[in-house]
Amino acid sequence: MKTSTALKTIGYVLLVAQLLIIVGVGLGYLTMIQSLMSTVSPGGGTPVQYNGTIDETTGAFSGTLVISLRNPGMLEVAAHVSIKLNSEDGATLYQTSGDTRMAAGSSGTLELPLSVSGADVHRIDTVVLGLKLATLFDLLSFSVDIPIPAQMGGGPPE
Amino acid sequence: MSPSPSTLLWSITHNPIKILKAILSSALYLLLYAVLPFLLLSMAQGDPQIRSMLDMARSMVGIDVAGIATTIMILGVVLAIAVLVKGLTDKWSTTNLACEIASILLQLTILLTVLGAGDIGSFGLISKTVQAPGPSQPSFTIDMRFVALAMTAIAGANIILALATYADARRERARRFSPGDLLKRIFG
Repeated sequence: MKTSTALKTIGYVLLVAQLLIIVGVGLGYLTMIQSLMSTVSPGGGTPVQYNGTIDETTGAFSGTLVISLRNPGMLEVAAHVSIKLNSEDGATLYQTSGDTRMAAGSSGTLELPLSVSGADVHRIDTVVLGLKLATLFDLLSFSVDIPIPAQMGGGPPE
Repeated sequence: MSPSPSTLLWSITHNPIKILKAILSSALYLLLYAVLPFLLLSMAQGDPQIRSMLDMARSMVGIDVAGIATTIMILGVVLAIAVLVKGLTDKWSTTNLACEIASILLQLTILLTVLGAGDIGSFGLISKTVQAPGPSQPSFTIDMRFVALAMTAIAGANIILALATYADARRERARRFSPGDLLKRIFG
């Protein structure tokens, strides 16, 4: 093979590699956006459900947070959900997190345990909800952290 | 060795197809990186709803979309000039090599500008806090470091390829104009 032909072939291989990356990234972000949108507004029903009890004597509450996630996209999505309960001085009173992987076109649920002592319940100032979505063999990711003041409904049920 | 103006003129007058290809490829880059961003930005700024969204993106998230588009347009014009000069020169000339490397680096700069939302140094990792009114200030992170890394590696490979093509073209030119080759051509 002539050198110039070999160099041209390498050039075409690099071009194809570039195009494959662009297509992969496009599909990855389309999948993440679709997954995020269908999780945030699932079209009937709420994505987050809470089942728990409050101890009347101590004021402590314990239960489970069930989060429904959907992946209508074309690639597998890895989801990581975290919840942090912070006090006014920024200390973390309780934190929990969970991971799930959803194949293309499937859905998944995450069950996060919640347990806060009676003494800490009244110290909760902010609830920080975290969601991370990764796709394309976890090479692309989008994460968001939303702090919700407890007074706005982010705190435990009274 | 750079081509002299007379060499360039010879190339222009004797290679109309080459000139046409150079102009067309340059026009394509100009269209993609300068005209298209300009049109999109003009349309966006003409629509009050999109304009308010762009203003919000700048004030609340710190992403200056108009600034990014302007940077791309400027780089696009320079890129189109580099592509045009590259198309007009022969592969054995250093001008051609310089323009080829410049066009690879300019395209990479444009890509990193887009991936970093205007910040090339972030190398595809955008981390922003939304300065929203009220006590809640959400933050988000978009991680595209893989794309930045892969495209930088491909750009590096393309530069090596350009150097190899240049060396090959010079070798081929030296062989073609060697005394032995010239004698062979004259006497069969």
